[in-house]
Amino acid sequence: MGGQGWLADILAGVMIATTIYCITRIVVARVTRRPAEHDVDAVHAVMGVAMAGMLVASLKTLPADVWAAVFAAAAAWYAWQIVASYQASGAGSGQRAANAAHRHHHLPHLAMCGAMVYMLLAAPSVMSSSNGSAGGMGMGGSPMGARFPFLALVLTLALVGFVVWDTDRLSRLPRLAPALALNPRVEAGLATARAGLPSAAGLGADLTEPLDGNEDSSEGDSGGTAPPVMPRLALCCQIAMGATMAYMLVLML
Amino acid sequence: MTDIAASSRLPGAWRAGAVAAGDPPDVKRVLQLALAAIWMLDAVLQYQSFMYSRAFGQMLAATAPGNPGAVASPITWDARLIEHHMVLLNTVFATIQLAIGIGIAYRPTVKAALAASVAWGLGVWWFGEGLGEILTGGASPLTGAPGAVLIYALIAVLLWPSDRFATAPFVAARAVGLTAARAVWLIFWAAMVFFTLQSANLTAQGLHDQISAMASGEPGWLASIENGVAGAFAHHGVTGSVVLAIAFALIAVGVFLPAPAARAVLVLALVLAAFIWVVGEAFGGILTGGGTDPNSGPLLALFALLFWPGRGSGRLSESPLAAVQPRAVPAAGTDD
Repeated sequence: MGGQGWLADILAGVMIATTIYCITRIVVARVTRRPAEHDVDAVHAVMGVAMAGMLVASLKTLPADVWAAVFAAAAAWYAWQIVASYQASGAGSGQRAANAAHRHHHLPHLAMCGAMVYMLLAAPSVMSSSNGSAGGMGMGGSPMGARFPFLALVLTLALVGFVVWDTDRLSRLPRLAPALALNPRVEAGLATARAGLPSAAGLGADLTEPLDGNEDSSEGDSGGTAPPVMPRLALCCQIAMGATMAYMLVLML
Repeated sequence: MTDIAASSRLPGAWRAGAVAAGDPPDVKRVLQLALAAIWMLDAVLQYQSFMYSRAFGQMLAATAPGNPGAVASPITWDARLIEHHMVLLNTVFATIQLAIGIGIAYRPTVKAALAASVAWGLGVWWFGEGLGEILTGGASPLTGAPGAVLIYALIAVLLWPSDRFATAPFVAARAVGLTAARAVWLIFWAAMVFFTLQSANLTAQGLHDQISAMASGEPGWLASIENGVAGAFAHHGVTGSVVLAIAFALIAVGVFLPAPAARAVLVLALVLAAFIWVVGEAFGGILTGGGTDPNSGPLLALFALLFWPGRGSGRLSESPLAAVQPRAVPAAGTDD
């Protein structure tokens, strides 16, 4: 089942804008030495390019198999992060809460990467037959259908759930302290503190420790206490990306 | 260590957001988010190509026959209008549903979105679902009667972000009170009993025909399930409908029972909702590429969860959703 060409064009534009934003965020965070989630931004930037190409054939950059390999690797990275949080040392309730925060943070990214792999592999014949007027995956107008449509439904439900959850988080995100809900280290620190660990090091250390991309503390004197780069917009991009992906999955039913 | 104590260790500018951003919502908010998710799924489905074809208008027009003239005429007019302006109108419809979903999920707009969902739901119930065929004599709860969008509206009212009755034993009563919530539940499920026992559903092949009709266009595995269950009901339609009606009646009185018995009845409601969604509705026809919404199954389940009794005031730790979120804070936009 194909989609509307004009809608595919609009969504492709949104995805390109998301890519530009993610790249900008990485650069700004590096230049200003402010905290950011570089792994997430990098994956989102690449994902935006891939999705734009899937929506509009003229924006297609790499073969589907290459993209699938890229997102399979990204999915493996997030899966490893989740597994590692399970295997982390420390069996106390505080550590478990901290690990749960990590898992909750990485799960949407794992689902999105998994959905990309599914979309790229489940409809390869449609992708290869697309032309300039139709979408890269036939989403600009040509009919399409995919193998394992039930998996598409499950992924759609998961992504819609994450979009709604992120939207709720967006409204709970204070403008002064937005990074707290975005960064797993901060969430982990809060969870650890909430669970009543005798040591407050978890929370304090998480907040003062440089975040992803600023691992070398000598790089920036602002450390973790500096405000992160445009975190609300980052969450908006994640919401837009998740909603667009849910739409693309529905087209594969 | 308390949240306050924990957050007091944060650097100044970060402190304000610690509790607000890090704490999970309470059970009422989780249920609101579930409703938002269903609305969003509805919206995404509305953007499918099928909805931009004449088939969509024809599908709406098909709900008119059998209804009284005053009900049918506006449906026919509406269907014709959509056929003539299908791109514009369907885009508007889908975008409204998307806005409702996002609006419920975004706390500052939750009241406006819930109010809009009630108005939109009632409008679609008439113009899009022909009042769920309740006036035609052919309504069947197994296939979605009395209409999914009506349940959207009911749930929106019960999930209104007001805790005037904060100590109510279940979430549904926190905004409207125990008596009103129980009355809504009783009337709804009593109506399900009534529709199930209509003459159209009390025929030997009634259930068989309804279920087997859902197999068309579905993936092989789902069609096999549909045909298998339909075969089991062949020539046993009357018995099947009576059993279904008894189950609905039991559910109707369930919320008046003591908490342990009420929970058992609500589990029955959840099981029936799953049965209806999979067997009776084939996931709302979503897997055919022509489903406009997930139909009533998920909404029936959500409706049942609203009445899950807790020991206190619907705290998350006492509900089946406790596994989703471990802590409780006030729901979005609550008045208390």
